[in-house]
Amino acid sequence: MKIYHADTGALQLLQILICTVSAVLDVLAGIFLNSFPIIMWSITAVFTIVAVLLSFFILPLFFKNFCFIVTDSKIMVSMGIFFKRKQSVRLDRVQFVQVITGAFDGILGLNFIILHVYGGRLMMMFLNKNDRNEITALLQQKGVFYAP
Amino acid sequence: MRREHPLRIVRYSTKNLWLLIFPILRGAYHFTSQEDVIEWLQGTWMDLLVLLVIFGYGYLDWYFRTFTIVEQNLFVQEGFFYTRKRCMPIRNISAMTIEHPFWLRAVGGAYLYLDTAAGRMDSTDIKLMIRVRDETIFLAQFPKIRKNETHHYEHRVGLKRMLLFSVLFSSSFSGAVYMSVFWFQGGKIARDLINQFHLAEYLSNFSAEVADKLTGIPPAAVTVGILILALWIISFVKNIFRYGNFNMESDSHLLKVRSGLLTRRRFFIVNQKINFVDIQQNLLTKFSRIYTLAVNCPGYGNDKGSIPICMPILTKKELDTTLPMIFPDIRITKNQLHAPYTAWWGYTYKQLILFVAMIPAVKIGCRLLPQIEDVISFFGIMVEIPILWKLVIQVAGLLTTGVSITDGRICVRYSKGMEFHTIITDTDCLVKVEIQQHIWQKWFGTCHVILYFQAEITKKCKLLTLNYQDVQKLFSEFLPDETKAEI
Repeated sequence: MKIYHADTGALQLLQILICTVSAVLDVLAGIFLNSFPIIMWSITAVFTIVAVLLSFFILPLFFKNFCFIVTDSKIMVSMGIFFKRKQSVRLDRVQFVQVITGAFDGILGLNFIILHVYGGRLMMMFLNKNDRNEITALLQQKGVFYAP
Repeated sequence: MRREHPLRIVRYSTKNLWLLIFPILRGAYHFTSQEDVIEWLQGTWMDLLVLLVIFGYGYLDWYFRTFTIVEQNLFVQEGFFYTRKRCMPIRNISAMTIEHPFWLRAVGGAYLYLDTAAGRMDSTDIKLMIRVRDETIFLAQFPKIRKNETHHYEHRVGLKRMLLFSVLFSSSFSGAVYMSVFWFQGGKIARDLINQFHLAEYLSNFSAEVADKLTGIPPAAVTVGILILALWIISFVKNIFRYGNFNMESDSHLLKVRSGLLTRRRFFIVNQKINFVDIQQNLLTKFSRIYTLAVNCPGYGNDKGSIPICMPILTKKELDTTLPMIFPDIRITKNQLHAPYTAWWGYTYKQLILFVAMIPAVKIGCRLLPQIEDVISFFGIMVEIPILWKLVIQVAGLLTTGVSITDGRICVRYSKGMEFHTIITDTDCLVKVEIQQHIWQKWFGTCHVILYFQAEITKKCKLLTLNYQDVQKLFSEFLPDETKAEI
């Protein structure tokens, strides 16, 4: 049994992305709502608070609690901030596998493995490159994945 | 590694067609501002660049989308910035469809659909536009049908039976669905055609002429009648094209179906992956003892409006001999549990109330709007007919609804909408049993039973008004024993 965690590289990338988007929206609000200062400051404040909350509280907590437990026969995903959610699938019930690799061979932690099973799917998100390779190797060993 | 058919480049390019907005805006600006055409022509390098981006992206999308079969696994890779790898073990495939649309046949292409029991509901897991020569690598993965096997069965449906099937399974509703798709997707073109050929005008004139001849029937009713008939014909023609040339072959492992006139389709269905067999009838076929054999298997009959047919038309005698040949383990058994005749009200109350309520409703309508009295009376009668039809279906449903469980097989008979179904499968495929009991049903000791079967889209069968005690006994394996429960 091995426990994998979401890659912090992906967390940093998301934090940068959210802060950038918020900054751009603040600037746009400043330009277009210049003549309505109350509305402008309210909107800017909302964007900033949402960005700060998301980037520095919610996302770090989400990444902290997000883990994958991989055993010889099962894979379990545990997640949630206020409400914990655990999903587990048996490897022998996997019908097909999808591996999504981000830019530059997923060095930024943007690697996803989706296991399609009867009645649903299990998604392992934000894996780092080594973890992705380890898990796909296990899936290959179990005969549900094969990459030539 | 192989690539899809090069024609796919066009499809992938269409994703970025929105980029054409820039050349269009540039052209519009130049022509509205009355500027020199030479100046506009000098800037065409930008338009060409946009086209290059659109088709270049389409080409790259096509180039980086490859597929191969290795070690009994289908591997599909796509994307050049973000890569998506999909691996589908061949043993998990439940159905494979090879489709040859007439326009793609000319350029040596075909569509390939592969489905497993997982993935997004009612959508294909993997869809590829392949070259016809690549078909062989997929066909080689499926076992060939063994013609000398005991359970080998082959049947080609003749023209007369196909016409009969199309007549029976065509409906104005499915025609209307088809027309609405045409209307919304064809959009402006469809409306322009109707305007150009003055179709609405012709329909109005024709209705007036027919109404003149059929004295007593208002023109509005004739128009509605013509529209319903036209929609029915569309549905009929669609069925002919879809199910024409129907051929079915099976052995104990595989079921192979071929059908289609313009677009030819070949379905390869793995017998083990079939969830259940569904014998379908409507009221006409029930009285004439004609059956349609359908199967529920992920990947077969996924398209909207299509029926997952195994055998389109069978007589009672043919069904008895064919069913064990195609599905050796499947048997039709007599109902062990059926609705008591005293439950007639539960089956028919909606139709009876509607039927009776229509009479005063029409009379009130006629009093309030005397100028269109004949139209209201006519439509009143026209509405009563389907209600009466449904009432007969419900009565037939009361006489036939039931369930039996023998030797690990379950056989359920029920009616839904305008159709009668007989579902036969292993009890393992029965995933949920739900019992509904109203207060008055508690007094009479009856209940409704809803059975859920394993399927890609939840398949439920509602059996109305069965004896509660008998249900508890028959489904004891699925229901907890309330008497032994600890409080």
